[in-house]
Amino acid sequence: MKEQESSDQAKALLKKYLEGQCTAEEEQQVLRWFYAQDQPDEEQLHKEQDVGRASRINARLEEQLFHAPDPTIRRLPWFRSKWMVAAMLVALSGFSFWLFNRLSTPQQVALELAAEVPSHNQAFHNDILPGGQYAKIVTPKGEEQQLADPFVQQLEQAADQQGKNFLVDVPKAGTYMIILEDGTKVWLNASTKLSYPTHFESDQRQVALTGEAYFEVAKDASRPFRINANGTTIEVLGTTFNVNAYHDEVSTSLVEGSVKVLKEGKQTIIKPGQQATTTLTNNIEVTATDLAKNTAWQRDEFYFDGNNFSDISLQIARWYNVEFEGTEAIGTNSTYKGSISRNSRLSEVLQILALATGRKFDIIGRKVMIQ
Amino acid sequence: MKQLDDTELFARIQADDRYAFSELVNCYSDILFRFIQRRVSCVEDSEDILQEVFVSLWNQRHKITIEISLYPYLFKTAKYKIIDWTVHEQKKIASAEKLLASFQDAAISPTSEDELLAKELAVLIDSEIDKMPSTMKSAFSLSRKESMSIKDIASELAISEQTVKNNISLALGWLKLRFKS
Repeated sequence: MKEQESSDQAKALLKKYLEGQCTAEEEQQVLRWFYAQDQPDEEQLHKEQDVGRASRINARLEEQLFHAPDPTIRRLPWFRSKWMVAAMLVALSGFSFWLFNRLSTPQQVALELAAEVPSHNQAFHNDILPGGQYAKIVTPKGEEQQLADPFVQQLEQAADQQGKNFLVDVPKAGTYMIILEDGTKVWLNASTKLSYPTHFESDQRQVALTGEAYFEVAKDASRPFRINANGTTIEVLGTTFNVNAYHDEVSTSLVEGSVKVLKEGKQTIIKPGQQATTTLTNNIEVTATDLAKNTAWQRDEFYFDGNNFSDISLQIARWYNVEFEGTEAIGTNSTYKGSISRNSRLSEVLQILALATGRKFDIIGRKVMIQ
Repeated sequence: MKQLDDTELFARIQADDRYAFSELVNCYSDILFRFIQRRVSCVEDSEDILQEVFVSLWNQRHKITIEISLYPYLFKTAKYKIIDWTVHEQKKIASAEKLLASFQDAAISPTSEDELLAKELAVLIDSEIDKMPSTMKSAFSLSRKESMSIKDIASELAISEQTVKNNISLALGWLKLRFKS
């Protein structure tokens, strides 16, 4: 049977199914075909990962159902159909081709991060969608590239770039996961920078971090993995842990294996479930830690367990790219417990905080006001 | 911060609560998207179909009754939208031969759609487990799929029992987050 012919025949059968005209056997046949799907291939799995999808769909639904257009997220009608785009490209000159490229490159993604949208709730002037997967990479040559796909593949490297560093820069309201050349996986939190060489040296793997990252270091006994984080060095052979280095006080929480933490000539080795914090006075404090708390961000959660409000507002400010005003009204003596999905809108997070603190919050543009 | 179950969530949607609706979109977008994209392949078209599924749920909200979970309704709606897309947007159906060939195979006993759907959900959840960091994945699979004890997993993977426990609870958190239901 010719392909076109069998395709037409199959379409006729599917049409019957949609119209509810199938016999019991035909229905079985359609269902079996529909549900017989192979495992998706790797490439497809990667395409599927997109932490911003739910919020994008939400914004599109809001526009379609509730007529509250959001200019940064709306998919322009002429991008909607591949055929229209193709027709446009044929019809228009090179200038429009350039324009189209400009509009469809990841700059759009940058705009979507923590976008301002109209609020459902009258208590807020506007609302802000959660952050999403996004980073920028600076190559050793100084070229910048926006990364919106989930994984950084090894970039093409010229020989003259040997020994120089890549810099992955995750802005506020962004998060990103990369795989280094040795197979080490690194999840980067918002407002984080990681630099790593084009190739690791033969006797060590050295990277530099500011911000927060969750590492799953590939085992390689012959080349220790060293992280330089604001003056603290963390040294491992192969293991899983979280490093919080937003400030000079750097906390390392170990999930499995063992790591050595060094600062100014002092060093200590921690066990799974422990956290090492280097202090401004160059001491290293080891405490038992709650891993669910320290690695919650990597599972898309805010998780507070005795955090004070100033710490909570910092975490929220980073993920929604907002500033808080009037935090001093809420003292640092009170502490709060609970978890909130990082896929929530800002208004939802603030409603929960309002209950917890007994204060009223409002969002005006990118500012959170506390009354 | 308690998670609403589907019936409570849907009751609020029936009362025109847009918040509840957007929460539902948050919960189901990822897994529905995967279900659609496996058949449609094009990401843009898949997102369009995903959007249509939710639109249809919102527009039909007063006519639908749900028992325990919204899964069957959402996935069956997605199925109709995908088949409709296949008929109207595809020039040629790539796997047409398969669809027609299965007709001759009368030896297979009939299966209910719910069973077929349940199998597919199991596959989708497995693919989520595949994306976990490696130790988390091994610990979780050995515990849930092979029913091994914490002690046996610890010796199998050569890590401490505490690490196994940590990883399993992290894995549960991960799945809970992906498929809140």
